[in-house]
Order: sequence, then C-alpha cells, then structure tokens
Amino acid sequence: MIDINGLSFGYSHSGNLFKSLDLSIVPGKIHGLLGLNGAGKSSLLHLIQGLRFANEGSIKVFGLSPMQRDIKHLQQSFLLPEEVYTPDIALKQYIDMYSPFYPLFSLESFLQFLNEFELEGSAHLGQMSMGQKKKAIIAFALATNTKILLMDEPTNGLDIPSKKQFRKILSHIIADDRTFLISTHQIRDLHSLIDNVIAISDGRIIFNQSINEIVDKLQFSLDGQPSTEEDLIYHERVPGGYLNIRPSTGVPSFEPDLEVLFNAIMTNNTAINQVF
Amino acid sequence: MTYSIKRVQFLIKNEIKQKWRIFLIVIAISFAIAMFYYFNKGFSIASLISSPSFPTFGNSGFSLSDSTGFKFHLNWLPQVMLYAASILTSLAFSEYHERESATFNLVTPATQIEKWSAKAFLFIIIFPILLIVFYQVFIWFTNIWGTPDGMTQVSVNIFDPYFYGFYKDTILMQCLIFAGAILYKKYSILKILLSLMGLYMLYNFFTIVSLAVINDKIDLFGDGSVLDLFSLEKAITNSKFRINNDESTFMGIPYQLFMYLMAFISIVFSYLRFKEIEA
Repeated sequence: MIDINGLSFGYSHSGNLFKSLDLSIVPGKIHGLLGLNGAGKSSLLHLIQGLRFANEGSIKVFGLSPMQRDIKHLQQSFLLPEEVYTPDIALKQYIDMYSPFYPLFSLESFLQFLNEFELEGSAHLGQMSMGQKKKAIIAFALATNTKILLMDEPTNGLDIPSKKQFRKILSHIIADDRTFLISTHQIRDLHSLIDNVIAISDGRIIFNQSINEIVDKLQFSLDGQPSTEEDLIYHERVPGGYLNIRPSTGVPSFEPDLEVLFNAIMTNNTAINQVF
Repeated sequence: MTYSIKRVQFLIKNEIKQKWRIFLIVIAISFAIAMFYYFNKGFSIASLISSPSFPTFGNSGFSLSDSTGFKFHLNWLPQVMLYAASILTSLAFSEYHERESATFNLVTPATQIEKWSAKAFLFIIIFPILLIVFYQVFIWFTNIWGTPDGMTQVSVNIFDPYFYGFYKDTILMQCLIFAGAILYKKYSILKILLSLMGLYMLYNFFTIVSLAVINDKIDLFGDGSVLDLFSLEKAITNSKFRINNDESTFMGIPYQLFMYLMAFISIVFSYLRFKEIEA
C-alpha cells in the first residue's frame, strides 16, 4: 500500500533528515510511528501525502507517486495534521464544501462520530475551542473512509474522555483494506490500539515490528530491582519497581509497555534488533 | 489527464464562500473612493481628470469625447476598478502561503490543473466581470444623483465599445498579477506593483532603444537624462526626436504583443509554480 525505497529528504537549512530510508506499510493495521522531536515523523507523513517532495528515492502509494498529487491518491488518503486548519464557517457548511471531494464520505458516520465526541452538527467552527475543532476534523477524517489515514499527534489537545472515544472509534473502523499511520509522542494514549511499531531515528527506520512479534520475542517483567542478567536488554524505573526487557524465554510476560520499549529502542537499538 | 468540471465548480464555490468578505470589502472601499472624488466639490475631479497629466487607460483610444464626464467613466473609474481587481487577485493564493491552510488545500482531492484553473477562472474572469457589474450599478446611481459641477452628464453602459479595450487590458493585467500572487508570499500587492513597474520600464527601455535604431534623430545618451530612456511618453513628446506616425504605430504594436506575451508567460508560470508548492 505504501512503499518507500531509498528516500532522502532534507530541509535546505538543516541537511538531510532522511538518508536512504526504506519502509513498507501493509494494509489492515494501525501503525504507530515513533521518534524523538525532530526525527522527521511529521515530514514522513507529509512526504507520503505529497505535501513535500523527496530529494532522492521513491515513494509509492497505491503504486502512484505522491508528488503527482494524483486524484486517485488524494481521494484515498487523508492527512490529519497536528494543527488542524478550519475555515471560519459552520460545520454543516464545511461538510457541504468538502465532503463532495471524497467519494466514500459517509454523513451518517460523521454525525455518529460527532455524537461520540459530544459535538453538535449545527456548531460553528469559528466558535469552537482548539480541542473541539480537532475533534470535528477527526470526525470528518474518519468519515471520509479513505483507505489510508495519516494522523500526526491526533490526541494532542483532546480531553481524556475524547481520547477514549478516539481509541474506541479507531478500533471499530479499522478494516483489512485500510491503513492508519499514527505519529505520536503520546504513546500511552494509543498503546492498546497499535498493531505495528515503527521507530525512526537518524534519518532511517530503526525498528519496525508488529505487536505480535514483540510479544513473541521480548519479555517485559516488573521486578523489585534492575535485573543483572547478561541477556538484559533494557531496564527502567517505573511505578512499582523496575520494568526489565529481555529476550523472551516463553514465560508469560507483562503486556508490552510501548513507552518503555521506545526508550529501549532509542538506547539499545542493536540489542533489540538482534532479538528479531 | 483527469479533469472534472463538477470538482472545479465545487472549488470555485468554496473559494467564493471563503473569500466573499474580502471581495466585498475591497469593492466597498473602491467605490467609496470613487464616490468621494465624484461628489467632493472641494477636490474638483473635473479639473483633475481634465489635466493633461492625468493618466489615461492603456492605448484604448478614448478620443471620441473629451468631456470630463466621459473621462471620468472611461479613465478614472476603470482605473479604480483595476486597482480593486489587482488587490483581489494579489490574494488569489494567500491560503497557500500559510502552512496549515496550505496543507488543507493541497490535500483536497482535486487535480492540480483543476485547483489552478478554478482560481484562474475566478480571479482572471469572474471577479473582473463582477466588478464590471458593480460598475454598471454605479453608473445607474450617478445618473440618478446627477453630476458634480464642471462635469457633463453622460450616458454610458458597460457594453459600450469604448470599454472593450479596458476589459482586454484588465484581463491581461490580471494574468500578470495572478502570477505575482503565487510568487510573492508577503506584501504581495506591493511586490507585484514594483515588478510591474520594473517590467514596464524594461519594456519602455527596449522600445526606445529599438526606436533609436530606425530613427537617427534619437540620440539616446546625448540629449536629456538617461532616465528618459525608461519613459516612453517623454521620448515621444520630445520634439527633438521628431517621431513620425509610422514610428508611433511601430511602438503601439510591440506594446500589445508585449502584453499578450507577458500574460501568456504569466499564466504558464503560475501553473508550473502551483504544481511545485509544498506545505
């Protein structure tokens, strides 16, 4: 669905952000895109959507180059940016103006999502708070029924009940032919949703594994003290003790803590990847 | 190439829905300025537009009447409207110069040519037509209200052949401003005006230099200021140059060609530049 090969990209003022980056994203999953500030998560989403142009390498979405901004691509791929843009118009007018561009848009779903986010369909975008605007645009994005949904920090600005609603909706609408790629720092907001973890650092993908693989290959255990075993990959102090990560021994493990896993990937990437 | 008229219609409608306020504000200010000068007796528009230094619009040949009423309608008002249209067109791509709104607009599912042509149609064709309609309304009002001292009452309408040159020049000028609107992000109207001035001076310079090639009376550097090289009007009115009618015609033709060529280049440039916009 999304194939990236040998991608090089950079902003003129800061050198190359990506150096020969390769990534293949398969449908039917919710992919979590993790990385430190400035690692290029948002830029990668922009490149996939055709908002930025690669210096070298290729990006193919449905076999099309996003640089062409082909109608078939744009109708099937929606980018939800971190800071949403909303014209100063009523929500109903927004739907009238922009839903016709999305052939699979469902007004019924949109109203349902609005209802779940506790927003009124008659509301005016100009009179909404930032969080409410974001919820309205999330509802629109989900109702477009595009095959690809790229989301940049979707839970930023959402209140706690809305984050819960967002997770609930997303888990219901994911289908075999749809792909959600979510860039986030708020990994705890989404840890129960993510099927596949992608980590980006130093201009390349340093980790790309499914949750099933992670559960199979890594063991997470909460102990009273840091493990001193030789095969320990990473440990971190957490409430209640130390969370140790080591290669799986077949013993039932704690549910993977993606925030701790991300820290482990950042600090001991070689050891983590040797396990897979 | 995919091209959907229906999507273009939606894009035009959306653009109008988003920009109708600024359109009305610019129109209102333009007509307020026009009416202020029309009715302000202290200012005496009659003497202003009768003065030889008052600019006439293009080369449209408004010599059929020298009455101040005609000059007002054929020169002053169209110029006010042209400035209004220029301001509006300079804002044609304003949403593509802000990151959030550019992201939103770039990912809207329509082809590049559809998005570009919707804007081109709206700003180069529809907005000037709307301005002309407003102009007709203004003419009706001036007929009802009467004319200020020193100005003769005239009966004109927008289908008058005298206006055709104005319409043509307006559309050609809009093409240039349209290209400037996509090129300049900040203070676009000022930068566009400076660019147009630069282009006009360049055109004058090359025309005078070309004229000097066929008219041996013209001494480019020996008579008058070097700055005169950029002023076609000064060159023409300088009696020492003794420019004959054929040479005046010679200067008129390249002006038209120059405008058509620049308009064409601007349109092509605006599309190519639009395709390269990144958020």
